[in-house]
Amino acid sequence: MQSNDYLVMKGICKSFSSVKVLKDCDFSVRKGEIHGFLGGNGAGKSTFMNILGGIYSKDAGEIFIDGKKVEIANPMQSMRHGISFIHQELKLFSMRSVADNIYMSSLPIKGFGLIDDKKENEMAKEWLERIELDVSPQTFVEDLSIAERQMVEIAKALSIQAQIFIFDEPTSSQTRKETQILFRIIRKLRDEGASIIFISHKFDEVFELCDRVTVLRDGKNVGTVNVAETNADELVNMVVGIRLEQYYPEVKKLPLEETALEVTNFRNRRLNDVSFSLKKGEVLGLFGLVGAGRSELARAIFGLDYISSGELRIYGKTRKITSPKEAMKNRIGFLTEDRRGEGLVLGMDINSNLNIPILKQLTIPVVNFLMKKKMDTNTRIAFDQFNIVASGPRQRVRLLSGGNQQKIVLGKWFLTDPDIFILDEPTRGVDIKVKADLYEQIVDLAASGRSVLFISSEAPELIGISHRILVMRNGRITGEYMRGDVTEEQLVRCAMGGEK
Amino acid sequence: MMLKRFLPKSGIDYLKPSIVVLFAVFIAIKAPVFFTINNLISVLSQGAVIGIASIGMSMVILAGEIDISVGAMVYCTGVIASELYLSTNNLIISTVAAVVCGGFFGLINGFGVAKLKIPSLITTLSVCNILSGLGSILIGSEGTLSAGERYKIIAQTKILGLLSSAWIYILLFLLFLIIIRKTRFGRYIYAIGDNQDALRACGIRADFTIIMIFVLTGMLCGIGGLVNTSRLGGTQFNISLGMEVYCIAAVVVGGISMSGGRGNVLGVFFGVFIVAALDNLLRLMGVNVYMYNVVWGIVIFGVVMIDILKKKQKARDLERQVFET
Repeated sequence: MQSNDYLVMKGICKSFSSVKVLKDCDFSVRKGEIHGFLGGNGAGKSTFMNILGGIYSKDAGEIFIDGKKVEIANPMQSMRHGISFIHQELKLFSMRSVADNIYMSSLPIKGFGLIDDKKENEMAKEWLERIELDVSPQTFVEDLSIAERQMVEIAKALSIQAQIFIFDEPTSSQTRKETQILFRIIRKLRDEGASIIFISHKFDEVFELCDRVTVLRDGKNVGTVNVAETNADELVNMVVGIRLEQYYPEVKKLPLEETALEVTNFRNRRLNDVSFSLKKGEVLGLFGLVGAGRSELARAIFGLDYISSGELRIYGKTRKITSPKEAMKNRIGFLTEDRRGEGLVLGMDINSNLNIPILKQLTIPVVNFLMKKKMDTNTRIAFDQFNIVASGPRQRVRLLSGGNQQKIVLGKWFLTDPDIFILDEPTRGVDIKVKADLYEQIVDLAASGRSVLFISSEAPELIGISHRILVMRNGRITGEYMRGDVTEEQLVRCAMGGEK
Repeated sequence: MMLKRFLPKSGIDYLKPSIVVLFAVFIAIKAPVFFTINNLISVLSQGAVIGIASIGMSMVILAGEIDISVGAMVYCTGVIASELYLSTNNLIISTVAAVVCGGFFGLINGFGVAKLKIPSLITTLSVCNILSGLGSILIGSEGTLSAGERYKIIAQTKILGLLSSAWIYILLFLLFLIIIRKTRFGRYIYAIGDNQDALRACGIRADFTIIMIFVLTGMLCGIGGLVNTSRLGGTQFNISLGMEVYCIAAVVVGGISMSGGRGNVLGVFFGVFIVAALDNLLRLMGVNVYMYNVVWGIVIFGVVMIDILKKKQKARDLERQVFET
């Protein structure tokens, strides 16, 4: 341990319902440094920082600040130790003034317990001037831009005399100019002796801003390096590492020439001029980091999000899809990222869940009775097709494992007989064996002439089963790779913006 | 992504003010007697009980909750106050008992909502039922309770041309204005309705504030019950049950958002006045009593609908922004 380490975290462990997210993780930051914190999706970055912020409690490990051992059990204690966590989703009162937001935890009081508004505004103004944010303390936060709101969070942090600042991907919704202002302020904080932890997905920012960088992979610290002595290649290697072998099914059939889905110039507030095409019988991988706009693209295609301009063609015909109903009519199926929230009715049994989208076809006209037999047949088809493991069709979905739940969502869409599947992170939180099952099913779907848009954060699985892979970053498609001609390093690099 | 600092006002922003103006014009034509000073003073006195309870309701709604036990609390505390006056002949005992009991009922509400996390609709619905039953049991089988002439002092003393009930309301409202605008407690109420997580992240006990809001509402209902029974010289079965509907109407007409966190409380004073006026008007026009319920239902639905439409408009404007780098 170096003597000038201000914050030291040792042997931090954390599990969520038997899944080990952090495994004996160490980390330290010096006074007056900007320390980058890198890692792929699911590497444990957020969990680690949430422990420091008092949002999660650690299972094991020790935290030292300025040489003294400290306990952090809640956000208040974290604050008292001079730690300020600037979350990606800002914790602000949007309907209150900037001054109220800065001073909510210590509103200044004059006689009779009345708030001294004048003093509050004056004090707030001082902090706003220090971070060069040119808004009145009386402005309501809801009237500020996202970047300005972030500045308010920083002002709040300064007002409580924070010594350690955690920035969780602060630039993800900023313009270049706003980022530059933020960087200037972060540097100023450093020069005044603060310790700054900068969580990021983007290499260029790390190289531009940070002094040192720590990489996390699979819940472990895989190394801390001086930014001046490293390069993008080394960092990519640290982020990617060596993974366990996963079985992938053989991809024999090539996609057909016919284009199933064509997206041209999609734009909305999260998408920046996105165009691509999906061929019949193709598995098209879509890689990118969280927030790159992948799910938003899927939502826009499926009619869940508004698009301000752009064109959608299905088998050559222009279609305007503004609701999921229309998307389904055009035989598109969308497996959302949030299977428990959006994909399943957890309290109902498997049989009911599978048949929900097609209940209309299963109803005897006029009398509106359900055709039980037909439902059971459907369920049997889905059980066979997707290898669902359960005690029977009457089992409640809540009690199933994540993998089997996912198979049911897939089965549910399969029964509506779509032609184009959009799968958003279908293998997340699923164990290795079920993953292999899912891969096989995806490959089979494509082989049967359907088209699959396969969104994932795990590069190896995309490489394993996709015919072609697109990479998104910052609302745009930034790369396209063909099967057999791509490495994990290339994908990660493209997604993080470290191209040469 | 820059937002436009000042979103342009669209038609819907003018909808509510124009309805109020139309309403005033309608009254001026239909019932000119309404705008005489004497009638206005009597409107204020009649509205006093609703007004006192609406103070509590404003806090509850600002915090993003609801309290539908308000009418039952006014009823039950009123019965307690007049019963105690009958047996002790002491106004102070009656007053203290009404306020303390109200506070206790509010504590049950607050505990259920903040600690047990039962939705406030369900918590207060249960308390509403308990108290309306309890009140009727206390009155006894005859169904009416007369507390005597001296009991009327509380609400029916004339001071500077206004009845004391109106003065009590005005004073409580001024106190409330100061609390909500100038104290930490007031700020926390808004903050809870805005973003409870953020308040917790500031290290402030949101639970405690929520309990306090319900307790204060209960105490205000206690005062309301006292004033109401004093105004009537006693009480009878089911009087003031269902008053929460008037209070909710007053609060939303006054411009406080049903989803919490937003609204100028000064508006509630006018909201109470408008509600009392509409009530007065319905009586002046001799409208069928059952029609009242229909009117109040429509008023609340309409006002909240306008608020929601406004919010949707804003969200739509936001969503239609185009990606910028």
